[in-house]
Amino acid sequence: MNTPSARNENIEQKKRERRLGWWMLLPVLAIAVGIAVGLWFPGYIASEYTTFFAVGIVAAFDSILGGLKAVPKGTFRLRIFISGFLVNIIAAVLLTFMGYLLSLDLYLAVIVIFGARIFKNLAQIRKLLLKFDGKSDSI
Amino acid sequence: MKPKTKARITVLILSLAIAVLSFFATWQIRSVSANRETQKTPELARAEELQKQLTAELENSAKLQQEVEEQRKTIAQLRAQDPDEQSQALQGQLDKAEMMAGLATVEGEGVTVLLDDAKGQALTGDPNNYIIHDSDILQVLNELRDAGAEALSINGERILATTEIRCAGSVLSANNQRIAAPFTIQAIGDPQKLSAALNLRNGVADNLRQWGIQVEVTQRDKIIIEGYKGGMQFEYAQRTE
Repeated sequence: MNTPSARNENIEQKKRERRLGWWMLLPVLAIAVGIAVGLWFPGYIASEYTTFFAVGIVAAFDSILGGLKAVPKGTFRLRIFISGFLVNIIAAVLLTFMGYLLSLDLYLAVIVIFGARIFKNLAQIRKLLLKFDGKSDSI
Repeated sequence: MKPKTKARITVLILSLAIAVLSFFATWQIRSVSANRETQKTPELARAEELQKQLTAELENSAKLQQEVEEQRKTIAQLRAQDPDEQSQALQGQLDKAEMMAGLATVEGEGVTVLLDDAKGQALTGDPNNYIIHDSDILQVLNELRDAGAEALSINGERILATTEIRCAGSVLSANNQRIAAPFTIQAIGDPQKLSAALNLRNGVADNLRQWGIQVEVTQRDKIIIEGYKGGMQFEYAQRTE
């Protein structure tokens, strides 16, 4: 049974099996909760540490965007996501710290690389959402 | 694992990561803006604050001064009205009380004392010893009182029972008004006694002159000392008679 209509039927069925309904609201809720807790959290990050937190945030952002790209693409792997998330953040902070020790702004490398990846992932997400099937290098 | 559950877990984990990210991002942004504010040199911020307070207080005191002026005018008007015997007696008492309190402008003979910091002398040691301090002024005033001064003023400020003479930075403060060198002290009393008291050997003038502080005592036939025109409030002292 490999007729086009049957194949479409298959794809539709698979999509239905993965439909989540209300669960899709979770990410939005997550943003709201994160911001709320961030606003209520007592105390401030000392000014000496803000650079580390900043690179960590950029790394986390890149990781999440990578995950968000992989989901519609169908290549999302939980282990890859979680490990990537943690390792990227730790690596970014460590690199920044090493730069502090060496008196060299190594965090610049971090932001350049992650910045580029963020844009690349965003472009792919955009194309996937618009249902464009291509993997061009242009943004 | 059912694809649905797998998808749910995916969304869950992603949402968790998103929550963590937004928390740290918000916290970070808050911290950075707070740190920026405290970095505006705290001294600068404090000076601004104090400046604002000072301007407000000066305005306030100017307004109050006006009020006092108006009240005095009203009082003068009331007094100018035709008095009967009883009010004449009261008036006499009031006049005397005002003179004693230093509220009335008075004139009479007395001395003028001019005090100035040491000028361009070879300053050896602590430069503080060559300028006029509040204690020096107080000594002069005390000596004059001892010699029978009935009214005193310094740089135009009438000396009352509650007048302070205080060092305030590089100037002095009397009746909460800043006064600076050279100081002119006016005293109404017996000119001879007053000047003799100051010029005693090893007296006040002598001691000050040793440090190069200029002291000039002049006897005068007529001195006018203005009455105290400011306000006065008694928060703690209450009459018992």
